[in-house]
Amino acid sequence: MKARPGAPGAAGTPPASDARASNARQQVSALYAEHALPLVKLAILMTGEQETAEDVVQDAFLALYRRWPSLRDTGSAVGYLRSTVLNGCRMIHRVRHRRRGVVLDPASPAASAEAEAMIGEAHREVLAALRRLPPRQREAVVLRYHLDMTEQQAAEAMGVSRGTVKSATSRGIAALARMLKEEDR
Amino acid sequence: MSAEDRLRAAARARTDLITGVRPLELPHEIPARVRHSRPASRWLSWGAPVAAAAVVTAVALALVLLRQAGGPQSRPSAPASGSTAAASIPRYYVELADVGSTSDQMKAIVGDDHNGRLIADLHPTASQNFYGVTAAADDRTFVVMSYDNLNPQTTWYLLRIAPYTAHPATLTKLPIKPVFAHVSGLALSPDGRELAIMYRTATTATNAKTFLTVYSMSSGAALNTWRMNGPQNDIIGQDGNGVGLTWVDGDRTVDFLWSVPARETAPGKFIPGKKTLRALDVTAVGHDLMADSRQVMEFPAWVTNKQARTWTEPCANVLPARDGTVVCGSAGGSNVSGVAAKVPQSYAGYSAATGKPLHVIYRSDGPVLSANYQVLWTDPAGSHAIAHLLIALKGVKVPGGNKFGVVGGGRFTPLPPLIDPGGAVDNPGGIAF
Repeated sequence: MKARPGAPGAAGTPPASDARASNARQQVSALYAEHALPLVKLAILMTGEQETAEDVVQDAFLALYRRWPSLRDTGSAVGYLRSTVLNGCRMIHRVRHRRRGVVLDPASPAASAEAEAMIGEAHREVLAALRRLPPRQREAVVLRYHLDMTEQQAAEAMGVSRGTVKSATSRGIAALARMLKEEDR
Repeated sequence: MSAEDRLRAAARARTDLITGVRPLELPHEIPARVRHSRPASRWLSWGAPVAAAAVVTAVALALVLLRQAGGPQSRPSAPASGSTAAASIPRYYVELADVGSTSDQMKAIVGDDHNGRLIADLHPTASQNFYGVTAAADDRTFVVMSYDNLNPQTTWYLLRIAPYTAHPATLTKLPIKPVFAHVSGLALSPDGRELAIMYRTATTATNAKTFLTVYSMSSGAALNTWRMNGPQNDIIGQDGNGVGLTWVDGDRTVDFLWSVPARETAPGKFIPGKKTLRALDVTAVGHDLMADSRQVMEFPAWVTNKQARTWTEPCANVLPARDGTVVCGSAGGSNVSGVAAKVPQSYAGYSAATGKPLHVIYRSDGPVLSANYQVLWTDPAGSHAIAHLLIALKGVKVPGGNKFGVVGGGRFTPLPPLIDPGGAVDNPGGIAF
């Protein structure tokens, strides 16, 4: 890495702080290359909008980059990222709720609507029903049935107890089944 | 195909469309190193547990001495706030919980909040699922709402309890005509004679119709139905069952929550949305849910503290008391992911007449990631409440600091744990007292 002119240590070795930044940048970028896509996929199921999902994931990696020097266990970074993405999606839900109330079938941006048009009516109904679930239930069913996490893994990602995951999953699936049957009628 | 399989297929179909993401944009600033706190000294590593053990021993000794000096033993685990209102909380509750570890069905559990004991365990039939419960004021009468998966319709059961007898619970199907709809709210009148339900007949914003019907519990007849068409009715009850439907004013009025979404009056110009409480006089004639009801109060909007980087919503959870007070439980949290912040949280009584806060029932401002103070029951005066506090603490591996107890007079008094702490207590309509 090229040292900035005038910075301490510019004449010889790079300053320690720059080296730290470079190291953090490289490692966070490597994590991004490996994990950004699945995290965006997770976020899009939560938010329904690709642009919003990508924003949430970018924010999560930015938060990780800022915390990188203080991380004691960089091996837990993926878990941290997943939790941060879920928190970000919850925040989006709250902001939407306050701005316009939560509508049953939230209007999606054109790009997302176009994408969903390609997946067929049956899948669209399921995704619309998924978005009508309360956030905790939606998180639980996506983590359990899309990411195939165990109850314990989902509990750690959501920051809740295993029992809460269990009940949220059960209620979420029951609510989905009810809504889909109503749609099918 | 099951709902789980349909969810898997739809999620895969949607996510398979995403094949790439935009590049990561990191700032040029150097991440700041956060100084770790110094490890605990060797004295602390063994001294703290010893000190804690000494304190516990001293407290236990003091309790033994007090018991010996105090004559007859008082009722175990009763709320210890010392106020008469706290002592008069309903003793029995019905909670919905999972039937088993591998089942998606929900059963009904009858519990005793004075000693934490199980009174009865009621299972639905193979095709049914309990998904809502409401209670009368006698501490013995409940109504459980059931969904039939084979014949998609909602039916209701009267649940009468006789704790600590040979037959502690009796479940009887009510003669109310089944509803082919998503039921978003139910409330049994305190005298147990009428049941109010709120339901929609469609699930999209454009064709939804909302109904509020009051039924006679004895005959099952619909006494009256109020109806609402239009784009606003998609808001009600969106978070679950039993949301904000409450009998007040001597069983003459039903209060319900009504959220009005933001409205665009011209391109880019919006009238902000609002969350309100409306009152419907069910003894009067009429069939128009909006025209025949009146707005009681508008709840304060959430506030963001930019300096502290926190947010608070004073009335995230609402339960009207019978005498004109509305109990609000707040929600709030840090705006910085993974970073705890001190956020003022409270249970407070608001005047339904003026919409202004009357008194603080309980308050805390400890550091949390987020917190949600739910109101499960309130006394008629709105001065005491049975509370469920969902508190997310720092560290994703730390389970949430959920608390269950009575709030009043500025104090939180824990109750014995629920029979199933992981049941539906945090879902509106998932528990009734």
